[in-house]
Amino acid sequence: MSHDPPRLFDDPAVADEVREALHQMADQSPQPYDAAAGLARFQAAIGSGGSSGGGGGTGSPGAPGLGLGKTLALGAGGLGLAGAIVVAVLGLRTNDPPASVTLPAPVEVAAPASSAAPTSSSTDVPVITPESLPTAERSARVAPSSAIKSKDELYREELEHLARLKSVAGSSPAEAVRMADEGHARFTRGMLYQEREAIAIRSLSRAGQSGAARSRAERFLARFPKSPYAEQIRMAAGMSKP
Amino acid sequence: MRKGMPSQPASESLDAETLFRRHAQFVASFVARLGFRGQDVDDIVQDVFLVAHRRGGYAPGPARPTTWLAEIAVRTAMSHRRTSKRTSLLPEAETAERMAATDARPDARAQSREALGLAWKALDHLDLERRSVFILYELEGESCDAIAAAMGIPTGTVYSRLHNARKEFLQAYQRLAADRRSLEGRSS
Repeated sequence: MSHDPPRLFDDPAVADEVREALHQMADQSPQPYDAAAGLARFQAAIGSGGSSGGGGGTGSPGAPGLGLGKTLALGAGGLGLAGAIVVAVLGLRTNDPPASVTLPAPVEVAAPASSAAPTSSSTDVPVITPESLPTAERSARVAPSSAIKSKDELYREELEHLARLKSVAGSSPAEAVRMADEGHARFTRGMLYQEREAIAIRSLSRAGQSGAARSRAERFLARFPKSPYAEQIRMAAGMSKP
Repeated sequence: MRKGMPSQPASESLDAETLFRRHAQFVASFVARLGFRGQDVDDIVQDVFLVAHRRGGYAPGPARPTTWLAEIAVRTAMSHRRTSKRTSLLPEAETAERMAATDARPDARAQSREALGLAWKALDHLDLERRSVFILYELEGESCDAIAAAMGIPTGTVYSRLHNARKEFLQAYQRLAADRRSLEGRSS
């Protein structure tokens, strides 16, 4: 059982201006952060998506973890290089003599539906028609990529919305509540509902609407009893722990 | 006296990418509140989640995901500070100005800006250990139990660090405010 002291911004013994400053410090980050760009860089570093190496490893030398990112990025780059070497070697074997380099081997391999007769002669130019291209396979490859991009775009929009919400919450609680509700309606499958709702409840409390704050807090806590924002919400709504 | 909430760990395991999507803003904000700015914040955030990735992500335990990441962030920030050429961690004046700029009333905005600027400067007088406890408890609303679980220290140590952090913060604020008043008195 813990016996935590009251927060400074709840302590009447602390000067009002300090308490207000602490409220603002709690509501707003001192620096905006582009989480979508950060995510892309992180994905590149761990090789889970996006382009390898492009966004990773610009940190200071010696920082923990960064070596891992660089290693992974280099590893991915190394794999790419190895792949290129294999393709080049295969191409040279397939297209012997070297003059046939103008006919890339992958074109011949990637046209299984082509009506052009297979040939081992490098001087024969294969007939490639649009119909011979594997369109179904290509579109199947593209689909997941655009789906991920759409998801990331939504994530970025939700983050931007949250940043605006935070900046408004410090000065206009009523507007913050309106914005939070608008965000809930807009990002029904979003990832930042809890953070928006926590801001809305704090804002209601700061606007003197303690009844509404408590009502929303109770709904929130029933739905997310283990939320990282549970303690903040209890504090804002003047609720004791269960 | 308010009773803090016991640590409420998440019940699910979270891989590093999911952690990033859910908590990157928290980590970035936490790192900025520790006093880092600009590219340093970006780099430390990356390092924090790379460490999380290397550890296999978050596993349910005594710490919650946010406090677990905060602990990694403190360690990363300490290492970054040792290797960084930058020595001043004072927040830029425009940061406080930007943060207070949304207030519609000019007189309130000026007061708010001044108080906020002094508060950030006062926070900068705390070392990273005390500063991190102060931020997690006072600004992020974490309980002392949750902080203790994440940092791997007894709750009593958290109380002690918090007590000292508050004392230093309030003393620094009062000193800075007095200096400001003295400066204004001389110039008027």
